[in-house]
Amino acid sequence: MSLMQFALNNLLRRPARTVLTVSAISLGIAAIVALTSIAWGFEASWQKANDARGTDLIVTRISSENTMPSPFRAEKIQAALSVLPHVQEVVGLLSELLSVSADGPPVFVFGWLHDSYLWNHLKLSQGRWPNDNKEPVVVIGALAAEMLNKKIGEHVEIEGKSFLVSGIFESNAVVENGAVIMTLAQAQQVTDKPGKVNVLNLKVDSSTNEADLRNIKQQVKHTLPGYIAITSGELVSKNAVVRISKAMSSATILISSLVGALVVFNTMLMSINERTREIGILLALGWQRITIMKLIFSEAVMLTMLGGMMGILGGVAIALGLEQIELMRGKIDALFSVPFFVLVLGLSVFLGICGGIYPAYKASRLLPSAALRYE
Amino acid sequence: MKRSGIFIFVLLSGMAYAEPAAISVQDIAKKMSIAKHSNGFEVRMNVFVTKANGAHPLPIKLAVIGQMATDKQRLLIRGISPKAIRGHFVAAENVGDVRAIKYQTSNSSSDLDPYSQLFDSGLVIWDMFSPWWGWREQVWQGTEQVNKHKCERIRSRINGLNSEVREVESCVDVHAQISLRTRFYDSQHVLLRTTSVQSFIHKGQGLLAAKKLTIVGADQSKTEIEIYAGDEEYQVTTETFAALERLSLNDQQDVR
Repeated sequence: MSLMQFALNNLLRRPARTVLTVSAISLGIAAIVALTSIAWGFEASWQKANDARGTDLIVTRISSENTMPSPFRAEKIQAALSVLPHVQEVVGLLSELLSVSADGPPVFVFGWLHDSYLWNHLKLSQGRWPNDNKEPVVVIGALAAEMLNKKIGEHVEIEGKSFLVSGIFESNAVVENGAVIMTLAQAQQVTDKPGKVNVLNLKVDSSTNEADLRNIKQQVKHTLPGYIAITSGELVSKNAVVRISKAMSSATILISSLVGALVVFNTMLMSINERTREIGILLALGWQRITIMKLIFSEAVMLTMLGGMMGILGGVAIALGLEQIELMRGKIDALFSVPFFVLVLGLSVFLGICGGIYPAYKASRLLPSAALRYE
Repeated sequence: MKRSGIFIFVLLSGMAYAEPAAISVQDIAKKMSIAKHSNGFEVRMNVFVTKANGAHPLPIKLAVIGQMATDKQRLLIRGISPKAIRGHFVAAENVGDVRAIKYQTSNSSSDLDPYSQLFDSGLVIWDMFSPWWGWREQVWQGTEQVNKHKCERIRSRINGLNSEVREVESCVDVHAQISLRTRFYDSQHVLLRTTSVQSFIHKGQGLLAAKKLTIVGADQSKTEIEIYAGDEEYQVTTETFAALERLSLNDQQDVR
C-alpha cells in the first residue's frame, strides 16, 4: 500500500470529520473565488468597454474616483485637446446611473456624440441607430432589453421624459450590454447638464507611439490644470468601487486563509491524538520519522486540495448566481481564468502544509515506547 | 492642597462647560452659513414617504437647482415623477425672509407658504435654506455622537419671527461642515420634525454632503431622501430663476 493510499484510508476512517473539514475549507475558498472573480470582472468589464470603443486616452478631472467621473463643461477642454499633436478625434461622453422603470433597478444611461467613433464597435441586432443628435430615441443593450422587458417601438421613461426604443444592440462589454444609450445632446438635456461630459475620449492617429502618448499626458497635465489624461486601465484602477472591491477580496483571502489553516491544524491535531498508539506501532515497526511527517502532510494536503477543488466550483456557482440577481445584472461580469484556479489550488495546498506543520512535527517526535503506553 | 483642589475644580468645571476649544459657536454658525455657498448646483433625489398611518404614496423624484450667495439664496425645485408632479415647479428665495412660489408655466405663479410640505412629503422649503445659521442666538450645548460621528450640539433661537420654527437644534460635524441631525421646534418648544443624515458623499478635504437623509415629522410620518445624481458646478442661466425675477420686478413696480 502506498503512502498516499494509506493517508486516504486514514481520512476515510472518519468520514464525518473529513466532510466537515473539507466543507469549511471549500466555503473559504468559494468566498475567495467569488469575490476575486467579481472584483477582477468589474475592472475588466469597464476596461473592456473603454477599449472596445477604440479610445486611446481619456481626459477627466483629477479628483474623479467615481464609477463615472463628475461632469465638467467640455467646450474649452475639447478645443485645447483637439490641437494636440497626433490627436485625431476628441469625443465627449456623459453617463448616469438612472432608474428607467418604476420597479426595476437603476441602469447606466450613456450619452454619446452622434456619428462619433464610439458607436462603431456596437453590433445592432434589431432596429436602427438614432438619426441625429436631436432625435429623442434610445438604443438599449441586449441585456438591458431583457431586464427592462422592452422591445423596439416601445418607450422608456428617463428622468420624466419618454424615449422611443429605436434599436437593440450587442456589445462585448457587459456594462454596455446592460446600458441604455442615447445621443450626447439628449443625455445632456434629460440630465440638465448642457454642454457637460464625464470624460473626453481621445483617439490618436496610427503613427502615435508610447512616447507620443506620454507627451500628450504631460501636455494635458501642464496646460489643463485640474484635468488628467490617462489610459482606460488607469481610469478603471483609480475607480473607488474597483479599489473597494479589490480590498474586500484581499481581506477575504487573508481571513479565509487563516480560518482554513486553523481548521486543518485542528483536524490534524485531533487525528494524531486519536492515533498516538497507531503512530507508535508504525515507529516500532521501523517507520522513519520523516515518513510519519510525510503521512500527516499528505492527509492535510488531501483535505485542502479537495476543499480547494470544491471551493472553486462553489465560488464559480456563487459568482454566476450573483450575476443573475436583478440588482447586479449588467453591472458585474465575473472573470474566471485557469491560472487563477491553479493559484487558488496552490493556496489550498499551502494552507494544508501550514496547518499540518505542527501536527506532523508532534507526530514525528513521539517515542514509540510512550506512544504504545498511550490510552 | 486646598488651593490646588480649588484649581483642579475650576479647571474641570471649565472643561465641562467650555465651548469646543478650537472654534467658537459663532464661528461654527458662520462656517455652516458659508459652507452652503455656491454659484450653482443641482441635485436629483428620490423621495420615499411613509405616512403616519403606514401608507406609502408613490415615490417622488425631484431636481433641485440652487444658487447660494451671502445676500441672496435661491432654489428651484422641479417635479420629475410621478406624472402628477411632473413639470410642477417651486421657486424660493431667501433675502432675509424666505418666500416661495409654485407654478407650471413661469408666467402664472402663485404664492406658496415656505413652511408647507413640498409635494406632500416631509420636505420643507424653509429648512433647505438653513436660515437659522444667521440668527443671533447660537448656544453650544455639548458634544455627542450621531451615527458614529462626533458632533457639536448647537441651539439656534430667534424671537419675534413670524414663523412656526423658533428654535433649531443642530448637531454639527464641524470638520465635515454638515449637520448630522437637526431638530425643529416651535415657540412652545414642541418638536416639529427631525432631520437626520444616514449616509454621506465625500466631497474631498474631509467635507461631507448628505447622500441619504430622513425627516421624521411630529406625527411620526417619515420621509426618506436619497440623492442619486448631482452637479456641483451647475450653470445657472437667466431662465433658471426667471419666475422669481419676475416676482421681484412686480414687487418693485408695486412699491413705486
